[in-house]
Amino acid sequence: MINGDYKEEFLQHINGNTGIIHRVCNIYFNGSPEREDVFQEILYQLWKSYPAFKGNSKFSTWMYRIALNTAITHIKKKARIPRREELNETYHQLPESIGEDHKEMNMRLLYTAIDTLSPIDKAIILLYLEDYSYEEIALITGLTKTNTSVRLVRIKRKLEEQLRNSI
Amino acid sequence: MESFENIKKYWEKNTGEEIGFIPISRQSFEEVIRKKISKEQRNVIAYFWASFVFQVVTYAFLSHLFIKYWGNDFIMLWSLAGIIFYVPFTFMLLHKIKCMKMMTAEKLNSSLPDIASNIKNQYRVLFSFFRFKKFFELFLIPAICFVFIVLVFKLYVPGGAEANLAGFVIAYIIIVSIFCLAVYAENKKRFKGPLRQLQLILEDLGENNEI
Repeated sequence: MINGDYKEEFLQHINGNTGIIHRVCNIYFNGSPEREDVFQEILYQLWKSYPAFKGNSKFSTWMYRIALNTAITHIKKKARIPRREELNETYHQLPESIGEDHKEMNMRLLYTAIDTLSPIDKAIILLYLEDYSYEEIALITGLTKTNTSVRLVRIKRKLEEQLRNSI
Repeated sequence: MESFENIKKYWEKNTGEEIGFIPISRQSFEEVIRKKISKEQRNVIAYFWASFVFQVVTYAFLSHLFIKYWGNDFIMLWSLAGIIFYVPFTFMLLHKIKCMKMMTAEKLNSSLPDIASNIKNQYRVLFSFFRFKKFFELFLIPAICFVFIVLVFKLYVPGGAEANLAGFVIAYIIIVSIFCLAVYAENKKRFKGPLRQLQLILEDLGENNEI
């Protein structure tokens, strides 16, 4: 089964959705030396699970499931406790700039704000930002749809507050 | 980025596929897979040896005494007692390790779990193994240390344990303490830390009462 064509097919699928692995790594391990290791671990887990992919769901949904599970499992292994803190003064005082620098700074602020969330809240907000419906988010996380929507309201409010203070 | 809808729009604009990540080449993919498989095998072997080497040494030592002191009933009896006492635990330990590895493999081959089920499953497997390990350590460490000390005193201390009771007790306490410290450090790193992390995630999921 593990032949050249099979590998090519897998790589084509993955390369069409590489952004998913990058986004999961950025959400959980942004700026961390573990990021590269987690990226490779996700790729490896995807490859190991690929024979079980029957196409019952979208490839991207399947990828998110594996990538999020791998990232959260890695947190367990490395005993990395979520920061759960407000954005610090350095971020509050960052000056606004223009163009690419401004974009980069805003993305950094957004990732930093998301980094203060718990691992499950990070998964929920990432899926929401990626346009997944409440049903799909509930299916991927294992939460109920009601719980997902309640948590999303809370997460959104928290992120809005943090980002409002930081700009 | 005041309102969340603006945040969402901003996210969509700046994190889409069009950003152009470097595609993963076949060569780098194969390199990653090779590296990961080798790492996974190393981890399994390291874990196996960590738990098995001490037992091999114990069996070797006790068998050696049993053969060397053939005819000395006291040494033979205690050596044999140590071996017989240890065999079921070795068997159970290997069986548990095998089950743990098989559950992980089965999980990979079965339908893909959601995050909550995956975390609950990981917690169950790890907790079950840790509970068995604690039980194993609680009985086996004091018992096997006792057998060792009895044999060492009989063979190398004139008069044996009976004539040196205080020394025997002190030696026993020291060796048990060393074992306990080693086990405590190992459990903290391999079990308590990861279990605490999983518990935190389960609490966050609101699943802690259903494990």
